[in-house]
Amino acid sequence: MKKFIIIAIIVMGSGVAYAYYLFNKPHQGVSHKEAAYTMESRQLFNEYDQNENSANKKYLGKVVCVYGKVADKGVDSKGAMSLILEGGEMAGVGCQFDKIVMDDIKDVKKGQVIKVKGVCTGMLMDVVLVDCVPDDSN
Amino acid sequence: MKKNIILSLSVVCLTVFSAIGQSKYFTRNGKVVFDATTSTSPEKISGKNEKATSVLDASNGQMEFAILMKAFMFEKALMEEHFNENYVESDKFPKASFKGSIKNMSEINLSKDGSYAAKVSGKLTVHGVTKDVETNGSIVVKGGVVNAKSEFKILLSAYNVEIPSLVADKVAKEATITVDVNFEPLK
Repeated sequence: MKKFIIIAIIVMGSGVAYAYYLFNKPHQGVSHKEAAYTMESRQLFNEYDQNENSANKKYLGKVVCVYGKVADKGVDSKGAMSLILEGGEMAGVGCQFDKIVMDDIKDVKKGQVIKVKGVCTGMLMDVVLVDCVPDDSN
Repeated sequence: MKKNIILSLSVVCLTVFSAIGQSKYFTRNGKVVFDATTSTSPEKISGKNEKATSVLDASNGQMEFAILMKAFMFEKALMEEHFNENYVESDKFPKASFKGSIKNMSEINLSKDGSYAAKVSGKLTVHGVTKDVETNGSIVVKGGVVNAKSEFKILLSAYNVEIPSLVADKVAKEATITVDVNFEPLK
């Protein structure tokens, strides 16, 4: 009987601890996550451009790795940086970078080819990737 | 002499045309913050989206915003998951948008530095539901950059966002939406 109570307490305790861990788990970056898809930024843009719904089914919320030429670089008033990788004529793949990797991308120039991993959130004008980190793997 | 007149005329024309031509303003890095914290919340319930796309037509005050729901970032991973999966169902409704106008655009001069009060009204679509909204905002023009800010509340139930009764008293029924965008002239 006593044994049973002790086991019950241990089980409940670990359950509570796990719930507490889950509850407080911080926002997860993508640097330790494997990309579900790797492709050229043009290809991702084209898939969205042709059929947004089917592209959303495939990519929405997934970690995607894209590579392509930097078409534009933006810095907002607070110093946060974003890159647009080439896609179509007017728009491309917009990548919003995590604050902790700002130093890694600050020297990136327009026209340079770069590989970026991020979470695909869908398409507005650009296909938007958030939580981006530069990807060094080949 | 004639040549000079033609030259100066064309210069005048060019200036006028480029001034007229510059009526559209644009951003793809607008900031939108969602906050549903109440006094009884155990923690801050707030997410930030820094990828809002917006176009403002200064000639008539027409304005459009679009945001991707999955681009809202929360401090806690679980909160982000709940927001996307249980509340706004962002797989089903990946976008939210606003289409409307600045009602008092005639009082606002975006090519002149200054701060202006803006009255905005239009249709807001969230979670597949479209509602009329009206709000006030401010526009500050400084050195060619047009900053627009606004804050308004939306009743979550009006957009069919259901909050489970278990946490109903911990999540605000009305979420506060804060918008902060820097418009650039559309090239």
